[in-house]
Amino acid sequence: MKIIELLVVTYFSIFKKYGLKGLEAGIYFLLFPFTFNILSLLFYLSYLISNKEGNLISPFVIFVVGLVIAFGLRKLLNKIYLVKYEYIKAFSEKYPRILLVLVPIIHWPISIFLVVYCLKFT
Amino acid sequence: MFLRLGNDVIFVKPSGQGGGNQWNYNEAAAFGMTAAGNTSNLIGTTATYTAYEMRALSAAKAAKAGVNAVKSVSTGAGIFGSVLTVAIAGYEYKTGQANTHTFVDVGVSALGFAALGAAVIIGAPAIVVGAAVGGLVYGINSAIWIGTAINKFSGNWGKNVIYGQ
Repeated sequence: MKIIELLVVTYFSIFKKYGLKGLEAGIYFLLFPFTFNILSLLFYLSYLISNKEGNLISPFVIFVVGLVIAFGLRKLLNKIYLVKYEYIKAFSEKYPRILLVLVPIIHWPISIFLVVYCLKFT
Repeated sequence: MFLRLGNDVIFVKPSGQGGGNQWNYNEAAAFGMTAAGNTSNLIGTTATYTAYEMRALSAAKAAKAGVNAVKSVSTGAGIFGSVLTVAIAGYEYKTGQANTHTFVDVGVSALGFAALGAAVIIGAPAIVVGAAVGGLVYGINSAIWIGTAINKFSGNWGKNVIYGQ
């Protein structure tokens, strides 16, 4: 949970000057790589569960599962963190903004690489 | 949603690497998925511009409700399009067409949709226009030449990574 909180803070730092709307935008921006991370994990787990054979997930299933995860995450993260705006803002002020913004810059490409790479486990 | 319908030689995945479920590449299916993605993009962009038009009208309750509605459609369409891109990447993988361009397509699409949605939320028309135009320019050029160029330039790095060659 702390890791997710840290991610929310780092993504919020990109849109910090927009206040509460910035937090919502940050959560939305985080949604994409986070969904990719969960999908990658699911792909790998399906590979392990199927005794390293793969072939469990078709593109259509990827699409449906991805939508469920993304929309579910959006609702959940908004519900949890939008009411904690002051706390998130105070948290983000503890560290230099440049340091916080670095996390999304690194997290995005890694997430994209992982989700495509992990397709080999489907 | 950038899927080449080109004439790449179908790569046959060696057995023992994630199973042997090799699909046949179907242009109609690929076209359908690409069209669905582009339609989603179109709905999102249209909703975005409608939101700005409505914002400009007044701060009346009806206009505010309308802005919220189109904001939901716009951001929802972004999520829809982005997830669809991953599904298309899965389709490319299954048909042996995945390569470096697959990574780039997923990245550019997701980043474009994320920027578009975030811009709608914070109300930054410049970013919306930039993301929409950038996505469109990349999409058209990707279908024509960028994907092939990326694959060539990278020495088929993506294919080596994904298929373990």
